Amino acid sequence: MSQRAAVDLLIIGADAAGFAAAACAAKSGASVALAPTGGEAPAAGSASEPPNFIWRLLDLHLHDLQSGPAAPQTTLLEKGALSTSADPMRTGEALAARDPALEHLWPAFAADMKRAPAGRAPEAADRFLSANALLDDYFADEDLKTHLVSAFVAPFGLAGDEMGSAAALAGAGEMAHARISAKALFDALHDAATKAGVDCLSGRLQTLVRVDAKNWKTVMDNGHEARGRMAMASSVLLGEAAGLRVSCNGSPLVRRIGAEAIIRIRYDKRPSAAALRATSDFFTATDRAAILRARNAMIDGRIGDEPVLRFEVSGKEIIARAPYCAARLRENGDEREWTGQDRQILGRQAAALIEKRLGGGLGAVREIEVTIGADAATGLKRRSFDVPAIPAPAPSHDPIGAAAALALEIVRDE
Amino acid sequence: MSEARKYKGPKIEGGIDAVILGATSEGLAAAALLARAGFHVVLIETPASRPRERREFAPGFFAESGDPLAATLDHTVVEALDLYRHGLAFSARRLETLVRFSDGAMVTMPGDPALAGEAVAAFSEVDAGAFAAFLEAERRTARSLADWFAGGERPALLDGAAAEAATASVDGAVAGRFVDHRLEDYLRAEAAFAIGARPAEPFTYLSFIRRLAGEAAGLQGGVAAIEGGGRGLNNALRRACQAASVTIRQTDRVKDVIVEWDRVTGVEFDDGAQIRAPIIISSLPAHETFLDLVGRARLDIEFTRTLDIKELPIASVRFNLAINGPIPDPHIAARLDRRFLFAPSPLEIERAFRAAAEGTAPEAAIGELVFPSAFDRALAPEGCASATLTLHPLAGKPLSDDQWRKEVSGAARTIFARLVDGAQIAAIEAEEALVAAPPLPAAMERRARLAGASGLEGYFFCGPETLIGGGVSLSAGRRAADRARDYFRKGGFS
Repeated sequence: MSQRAAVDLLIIGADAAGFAAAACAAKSGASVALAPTGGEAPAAGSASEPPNFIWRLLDLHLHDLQSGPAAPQTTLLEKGALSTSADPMRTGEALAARDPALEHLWPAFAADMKRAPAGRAPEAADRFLSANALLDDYFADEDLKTHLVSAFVAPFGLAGDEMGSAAALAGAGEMAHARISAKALFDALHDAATKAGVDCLSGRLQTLVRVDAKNWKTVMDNGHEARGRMAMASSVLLGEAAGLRVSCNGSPLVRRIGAEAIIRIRYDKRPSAAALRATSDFFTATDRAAILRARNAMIDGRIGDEPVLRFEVSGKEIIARAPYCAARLRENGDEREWTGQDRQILGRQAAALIEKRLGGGLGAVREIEVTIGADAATGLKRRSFDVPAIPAPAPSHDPIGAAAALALEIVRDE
Repeated sequence: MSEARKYKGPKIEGGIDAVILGATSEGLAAAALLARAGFHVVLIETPASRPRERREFAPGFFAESGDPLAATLDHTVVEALDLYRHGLAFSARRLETLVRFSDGAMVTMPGDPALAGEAVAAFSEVDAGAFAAFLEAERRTARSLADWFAGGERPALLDGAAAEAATASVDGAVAGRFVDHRLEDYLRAEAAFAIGARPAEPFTYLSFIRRLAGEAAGLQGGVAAIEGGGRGLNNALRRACQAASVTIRQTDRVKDVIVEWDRVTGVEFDDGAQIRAPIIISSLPAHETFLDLVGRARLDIEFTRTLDIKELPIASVRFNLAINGPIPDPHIAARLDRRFLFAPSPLEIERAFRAAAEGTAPEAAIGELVFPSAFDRALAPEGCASATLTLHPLAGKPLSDDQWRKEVSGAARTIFARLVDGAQIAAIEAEEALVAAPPLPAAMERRARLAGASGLEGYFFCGPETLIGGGVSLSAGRRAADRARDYFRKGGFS
């Protein structure tokens, strides 16, 4: 067992957001230790480019990061594709083919959503709006509403009917993050954290305890310990999955149930369907009722009949994410873990759905790998209420930027 | 000498300081408070705002209207109006709650939350300390927020616990607290009761804190049964009004509220008669208060957006049950003068919300059961009992739909049987569907907007939309009377 001197900030969660937060805090002069929880999802596919302050602070330009253009979002409907991009005028013009009114309505919606986060006072009534209610106010086109819920609300594990879920639409329509390889970005952030002197603890977090009024202590499963004057989680989900009490100023976007599954489908050759010629984030939901069915199946602890997927193509691989995935399956009232067979069922469902939506052209499937992500509910079953909650960034479409901003705020306040 | 010219037009009354629309509890409280402050008050009692008389819902079985329980009575109004002297009485104070879980297990929560630790120890010894500490901490939070719940300003800076409570979901706040998860089921049922959002949704937890902030019969967090139910309280308030010389008029002919420039100046009846007064307080529903009596064109545009928010499609339905013969379940029959709560499992609650959204009757729902005949023997024949069961959540469909009434009555029978084993139900009546309230922060936001931003000076509101946390409170009437008094003193009307 080893014990080290107390650091200024302990960060729980060694995902890209955790490394970014740790590196930024260390670069601004704080001593930082980073504790992995074991619930971190592997870096797969592409990620949004981090915001400029992280590039500048961590000198990310020194790393071999090649960012591509911001990808549009495309929902593959049974009767054709529907795309929106970060350019409201162009999107409006494209949507005008569906409904002429959308030519002006879409830019107006995008402008409203851009104003939403800053203009929303904490007492404002619209913070209680559900995404479905907000979208019903703007649009009549059911496909467009399905697309927006798939692209902006589903990543939080929400289905759009939850109170406050309209917050997930903030920035929708003008969100323009260049895409970057998630693996390369993770490596760069890891490297930046190491060079900035972040102490990356080995093993997995076993517990975080309050030693006294001034110090926290992490205990790792290999016996290592680290003390810190402040602590934060890199994300609410990772913190809660590790059994910690986490506070994020009451964001309505916190996932309470289920997990995200990552499904990697490897093909013999690079998928060549016509729809895949342009780089995009693809979505498969048929309609909002299907989204609700998938969410309900997740709550029931079932594998739904039709998963709701977001996918992208990476070489010979399609990386799909299923946001409504039961963390544990329920059978005859009893809960059980996912078996290999269950994973194969979900993987095959996903492969078949993607094939159907793309209209073929994918070639033979060589391998399907399914990973079930961190589950907040597991941690909720064993968290201790005797210790104060630690802060975590509110869930957002830019988790890396949010975590780094929070870490900087904490160390600067200190 | 020429004969004095006689005015032959409609009657116009002046010299009145305030007109109160609606004889609801809040309206009566506002009227009595203003009258005691020296105002000349006329209260207009519309038929819809009049409490219903005790009625026979099945041969030999009677029901009072309204909620038989009170948990959030504003003690300052009770004291200011001396309501005990005017006949307010409790048939039971500090009601304990017997909670029955979906697996049939039971725990008794004492009437005084401070004693909950001992009761929980008998149910789950390992959780007793944590439960008592949790309840004590939440009572402290509740005390710090009590003024906000009662219509005061939102605390400028909510401290850690209060800030978390104001935004947390029930699941986020209670999951993982106790070894025996049924204690979480109890908290979930208490918090989610009468609220139109699922326990997993944000902002839902504050309802539980609200329950702890209420005061009934002198006890914070306690529940009491008012003698005569809602009608008993209404009668006491009516006597307080009479003692303060409030003029009560019964009419359903109010046509509109007279607005001159941007202020109200009286009410007009459908025969053209008018009562001129610089202050009008309405305890009628918001839609009627603003859209029917004033009209959209005279209201602030932003304000009308609040009125246009759709009601939630979820309701709580109150049933009256006639129980023939004694209740065989010894746990229940041991004492009927308690509150009984059915706390379904989290999945059952989720499915009930799903059924409500789909417009179907649920298999299980949160159920609050009271035996009014235990407090007033005249409500049921000798040896029998009358019960009031409120279920939540159900679809917000009208009970006039025969098929729907039949379906929900079936659900009520099933849930009653899970709560009370073996009782023989002679008759069941679906009495009333109450639209579920938004989660508390949203409801308080709506209340603040409705109370203060109509753009009409001299027009104050204490309608049902201002009731926070369910049940009668009298706080909204008090706040409306306070604001009206300030407005009058500042001479805003002159």
